[in-house]
Amino acid sequence: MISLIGVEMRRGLARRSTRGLLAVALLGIAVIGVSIFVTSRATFDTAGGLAEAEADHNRVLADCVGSNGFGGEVRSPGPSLTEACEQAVPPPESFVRDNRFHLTDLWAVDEGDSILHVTAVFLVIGALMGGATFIGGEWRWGTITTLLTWEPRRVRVFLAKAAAALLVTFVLGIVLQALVGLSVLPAALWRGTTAGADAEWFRAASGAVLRASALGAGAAVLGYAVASIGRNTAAALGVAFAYVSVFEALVRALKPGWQRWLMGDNGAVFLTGRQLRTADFERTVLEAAVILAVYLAATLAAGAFVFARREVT
Amino acid sequence: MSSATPVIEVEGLRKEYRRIRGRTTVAVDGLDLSVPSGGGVFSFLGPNGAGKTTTVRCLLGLVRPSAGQLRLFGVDTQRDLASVVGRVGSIVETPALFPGFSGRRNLALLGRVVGIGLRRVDEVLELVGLAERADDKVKSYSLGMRQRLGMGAALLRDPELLVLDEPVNALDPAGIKLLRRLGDEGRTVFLSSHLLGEVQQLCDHVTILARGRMIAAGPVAEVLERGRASGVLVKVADADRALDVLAQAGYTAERTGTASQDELRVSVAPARAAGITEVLAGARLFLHELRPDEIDLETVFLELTSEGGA
Ligand SMILES: Nc1ncnc2c1ncn2[C@@H]1O[C@H](COP(=O)(O)OP(=O)(O)OP(=O)(O)O)[C@@H](O)[C@H]1O
Ligand SMILES: [Mg+2]
Repeated sequence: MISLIGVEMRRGLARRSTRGLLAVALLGIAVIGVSIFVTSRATFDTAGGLAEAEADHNRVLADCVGSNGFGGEVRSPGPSLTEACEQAVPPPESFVRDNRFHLTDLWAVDEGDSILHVTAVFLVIGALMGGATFIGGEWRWGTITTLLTWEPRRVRVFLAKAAAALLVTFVLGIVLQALVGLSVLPAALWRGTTAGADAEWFRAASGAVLRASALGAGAAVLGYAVASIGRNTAAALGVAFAYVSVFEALVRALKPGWQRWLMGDNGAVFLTGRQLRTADFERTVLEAAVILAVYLAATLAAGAFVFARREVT
Repeated sequence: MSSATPVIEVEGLRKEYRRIRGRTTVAVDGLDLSVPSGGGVFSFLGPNGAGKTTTVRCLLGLVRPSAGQLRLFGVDTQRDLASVVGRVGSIVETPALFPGFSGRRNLALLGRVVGIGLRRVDEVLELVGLAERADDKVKSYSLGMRQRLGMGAALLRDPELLVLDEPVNALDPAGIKLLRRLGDEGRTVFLSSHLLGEVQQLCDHVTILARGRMIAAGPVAEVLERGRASGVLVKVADADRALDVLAQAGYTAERTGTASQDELRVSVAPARAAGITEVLAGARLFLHELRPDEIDLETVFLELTSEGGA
C-alpha cells in the first residue's frame, strides 16, 4: 500500500496537468509579488503626502459647504455652516493615504481581507481540478486497465490514489503559500512595514496556511472522488462548480436555516477561523472541519463503491 | 500447487453487457476453456466481436462475469485474483501507458508498485528491443513500439503466464521468436490474434471462438484436420470428361471455380492420389498438375466461423 501511494505521488507530480497548474500558480504568485511591490509606496508622511492630504481635506470641506452640509446631514444649530463643516470633516492628517504594504495584510487575524484568503480560493479551485484530472486522465488514457492488472484490489488502488492526491496537494499548498509570503516580503521590507508581524501573528498566519492547505487537499480528494464517480474530468468539474455556485447559492437564498450545513460556509469558517458576517450561526473551526470531513468521507465512499464495481472496458 | 493444475480454466463463462435502454449484448455464451500447465503457446481465435477480449477481461478481473467459473493456477479469480496476479503478465487490446511519460518511466512506475527495480526495467526494455528509445516519450512511439512496451510491462514480473489480447503489432519476427522462446522455457503464452499465418507458425494449441461460443479446440494440426476432408487438386486438359470419369470411378470431384477452368478438386487423402492418376490415365486423360490441397488455419477458421458454421 505504501509503495502504491508512493508511485501514485510520483505519477501525480510528473503529470503534465499538475505541472501546468503549478506553472499557473507560480505565475500568479509572481504577479501578486510584483504588483504589490509596484503599487506600494515606501513612506506616507512625506511633505508631498501631507500636501496631498491637505488638498483632499479642503476638497471635502468645500463639498460640504457647497452641498449645504451634504444635503442637511451636517446640521448647524448655532454656528455657521462653514464652522459646522469644519467640525464635521476630519482633520487633514487623517487624509494622509497609507500606501505602504503592511505584512499583516498577508493574513488579517481578526477582521478585514487577507491576501491568503484570496489565494486559498484559487488553491481550492486548482486542487479540485488537479484531483479530478488525476483520475480522469487514467480513464481517458485507459491506463487504469494496466494498473488494475497489477493490483486488482480496487479499493486499495482507489484509496492509495486518494492518499497520494491528499498528500501531494497538502504539501504543494504549504509550499505555494510560503512562496506567496516570500513574494510579498520585498514589498513589506522596502515599500512598507512589518509592523504587527510578531511571533503571535506568525503563528496565526502559519495556522491559516496549514488550514488552507488542508482545505486544498480536501478539495483535491473531492475532485478525485467526484471524477471517479463520473469517470470524466470535465463532467466532475462541472458538477463541482455547479454545486458550489448554483446549489449552495440557492440554498442560501431559499433556506437560510440550512446555510450552516453548506460546504462553502463551513469551508469559509474553517479557513478564516472567524464567524461569517453573512450568516447568523456559530461555528468553531473544529466543527466546520468535522462537517467538511463528513462530506468528504461520504463522497469518497461513494467513489470507492463505484470504482470497485465498475467494469473496465 | 500440483503441476497438473491447469494454468487457465474457464467453465460455463457467460458475459452480458447491459446497454442503455435495457438491451443486452451476450458477449460470451457458455464458454469452456482449459489451458494445461507445462508451457507452450496457445492461441485464441475468433472473428471480430467473438468475445475474445471479453473473456480476457473476465479472466483478469476487469469485468464481472454474468455466470461461470474462472480459475488461474487453480485459484478462483472472483475470490482471490490478487494472490495469483503476480504470476500473470497481460496486454489487453492496445496497451495503455501514459503518453507523456517515457517508456522507462512508465515501466519503472509499474515496477515500483511491486518493488521491481530499474535493473529489471532495463533488462526488459532490452528484451523487447526498446533500449534505445527507452527515454523517449511514449507518444512518440510507433504503434508496434507501444505494443512492445506493453509486452515489456507484461514481462516485468517474469510471469509464468502471459495473456496477450491482440498483440498483433508486437508480432514482428523478433516478437514471434520471443514468444516462441518463452513458450519453450515452460511458460504459457495465451494469445488472441487475427494474424492466422503467424499463429499457425507460433502456436501449439488453438481455441476457436465464434459468437461467444467455443467451436473448436486442440492442437493446431488436429483442428486443421477437423476443418474439412483433405483433397488433391488436379489439372487436366478436358475437365468435363475428367469429372465424368472420376465420378464413374467413385470419386467425389468438383471444379475449384478458380480462374483456371481446368482445375478440379478431388476429395481424397493426398496419400491416395496414385488412384486418381491411374483412373484418368486409363481414360487417356493426362495430368498437367497434381498437388495436395493444403488447408491452412485461415481456411478452416473462415469455414468454422462463417454463418451457420457453429
Ligand atoms: N463495454 C461493452 N459494452 C457493450 N458491449 C460490449 C462491450 N464490450 C464488448 N461488447 C460486445 O461484446 C461482444 C464481444 O466483444 P469482444 O470485444 O469481446 O470481441 P473480440 O473477440 O475481442 O473482438 P475483436 O476481434 O474485434 O477484438 C461484441 O458484440 C461487442 O459489441
Ligand atoms: Mg478484442
